[in-house]
Amino acid sequence: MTASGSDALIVLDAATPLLERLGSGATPALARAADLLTAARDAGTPVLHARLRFRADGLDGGHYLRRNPDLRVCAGADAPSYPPLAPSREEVVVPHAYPSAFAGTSIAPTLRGVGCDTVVLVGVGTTTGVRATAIDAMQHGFDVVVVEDGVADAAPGLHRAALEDLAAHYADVLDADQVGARWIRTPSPARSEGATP
Amino acid sequence: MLAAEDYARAGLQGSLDLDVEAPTALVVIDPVRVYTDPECPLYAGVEDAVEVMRALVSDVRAGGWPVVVTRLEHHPSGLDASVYGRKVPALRWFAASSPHSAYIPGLAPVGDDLEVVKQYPSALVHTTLAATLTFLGVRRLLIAGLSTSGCVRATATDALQYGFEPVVVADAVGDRLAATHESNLFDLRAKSAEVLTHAELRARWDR
Repeated sequence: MTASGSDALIVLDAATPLLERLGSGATPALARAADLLTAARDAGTPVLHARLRFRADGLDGGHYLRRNPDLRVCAGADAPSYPPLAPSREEVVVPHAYPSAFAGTSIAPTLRGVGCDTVVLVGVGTTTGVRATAIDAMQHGFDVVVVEDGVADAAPGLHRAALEDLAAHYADVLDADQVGARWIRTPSPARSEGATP
Repeated sequence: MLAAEDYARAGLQGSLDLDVEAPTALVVIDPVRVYTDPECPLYAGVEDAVEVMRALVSDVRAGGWPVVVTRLEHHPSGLDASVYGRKVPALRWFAASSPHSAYIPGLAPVGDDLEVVKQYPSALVHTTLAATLTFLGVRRLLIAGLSTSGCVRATATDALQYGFEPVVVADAVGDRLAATHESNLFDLRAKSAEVLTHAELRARWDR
């Protein structure tokens, strides 16, 4: 038997320099992600933001940054937020230096602390950060929902293939309307638990 | 029977062979004014240990080894402190808004030093430090900083668990109570780490 019913929304890497690399094809997905961010806030569903960030010399990016030198746009300073997906002052931003938002970060205990058992992923990129985060979330004991029309990547074919892999092995792949309906039916209890110390 | 003899007979108090050279880094745990500002309730009276930390950092930099400096930081909401924040109200003294959260003079990261911002006691938990040390080829971790029973002990235990040789520098770590400091060093020496003084380390380096 598994517990169920407490979602948290994770917005992955909604930084302007990363999104610009995806081109205009990503715009509809980012709009759907923004709709879902608003729905999460309205429903009291906890929201976390994960952001690639490296120190200026890139040392903490290790072999990931060595193999993906274009990600240096996230080195040295916080990359600017894509405004429709910008964090509010109350929302935790988790810096990460590897593809998964769980790798080398404290996001797992934060999710447990707000009573979350299911993470809902929107953002970029489907083949990299979304995929890595979905697998890691499952491996940390969380159920995973990937929002198929709320994630994006540069190559449409690879994006679709990644969603098929995720649906086959790791996650429920749902559209934004289906996820929004979850929150209307079963509002998260997390807000009433008083998670702040 | 002395406790040390009893432990040795039990198969504890073993030693890592530090004569075998290994790529080494120093981590200085949470050297912030929380512990040295007399007006901070968490003031720990660790001025002597701080002096040794400064000398140790200087030695390690001169040797060209990496220096890692850690500090605690949490979101103002406290959400990323989770259970730790509920258990330890004293985390409030480490907050950015606290007048005591700045680094102790002379122990802030400089130049190529690696600053690690963490949310939990261990420098190796929920941080990229283990990956970065592996990337750098580091195999041995000198551990200094504050406090012995808390973040130092957690980091030393995790160093062992992550596959790094932990070497706790006995006089470069400190705690509120001398008895707590000593008992934690005893446990670390028995089960997790080499425990040497700065002078003992220098004697090894000078050989």
